[in-house]
Amino acid sequence: MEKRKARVLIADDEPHIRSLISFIVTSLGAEVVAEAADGEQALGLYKQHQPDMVLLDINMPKLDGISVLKQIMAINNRTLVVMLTSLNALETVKECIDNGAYNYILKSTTADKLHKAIRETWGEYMAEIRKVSQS
Amino acid sequence: MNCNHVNPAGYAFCGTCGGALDHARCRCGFVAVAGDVFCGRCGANLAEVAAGVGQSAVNADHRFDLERLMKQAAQERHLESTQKARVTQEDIRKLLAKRRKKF
Repeated sequence: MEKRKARVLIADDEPHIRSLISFIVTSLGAEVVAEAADGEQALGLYKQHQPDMVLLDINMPKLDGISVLKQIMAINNRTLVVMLTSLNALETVKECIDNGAYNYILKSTTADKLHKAIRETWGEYMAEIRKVSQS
Repeated sequence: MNCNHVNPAGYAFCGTCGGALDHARCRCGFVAVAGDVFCGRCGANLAEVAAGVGQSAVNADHRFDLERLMKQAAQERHLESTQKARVTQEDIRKLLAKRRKKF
């Protein structure tokens, strides 16, 4: 991760996935500000903590990840939202990207690749933010 | 019906006492046994039939409704094509390069 410590919200209904993601995010030097087990909780915690980055599952109880994504984008469309899901349907991927998801990472990958994907996403995002602020 | 006789599928009345059986009649005309969930002839969901949801591709005179069958086939083709459109992480990367939002 970059020098600035990213504040991250993790939303996934599976505790072991949250633990793994939390471990990866922390090892990258970021801070996990909150963890949500369902969509409604994710939205509430997003409003409360205003994190820089949201790692968001799609299949969650109460409110699905795509609805959460849309609401987050309505609040602050510069939030870095990364979908982290096992859903690999093309339509779902397109819907998330079109609604402002910055990246879409399939869970069906190794922990190493997940680590690399999250690190690269944050790096790309920060580079883009720097480019915009310099111009 | 309270004679406790066990009647075969399709019976609307008890073969022993003549009492009306607790049965569900499908829209195709088949009389199902009490407790059946699906029609034994056309496979329709009996609860949905009772609630008037959807329509069977088999008419009451046991002829196929070709128009409805065509619609069903089209729906299944659409579902199949949607199910096949699966992507890999590499596909997603390419898609992101084209569609990702700019700040």
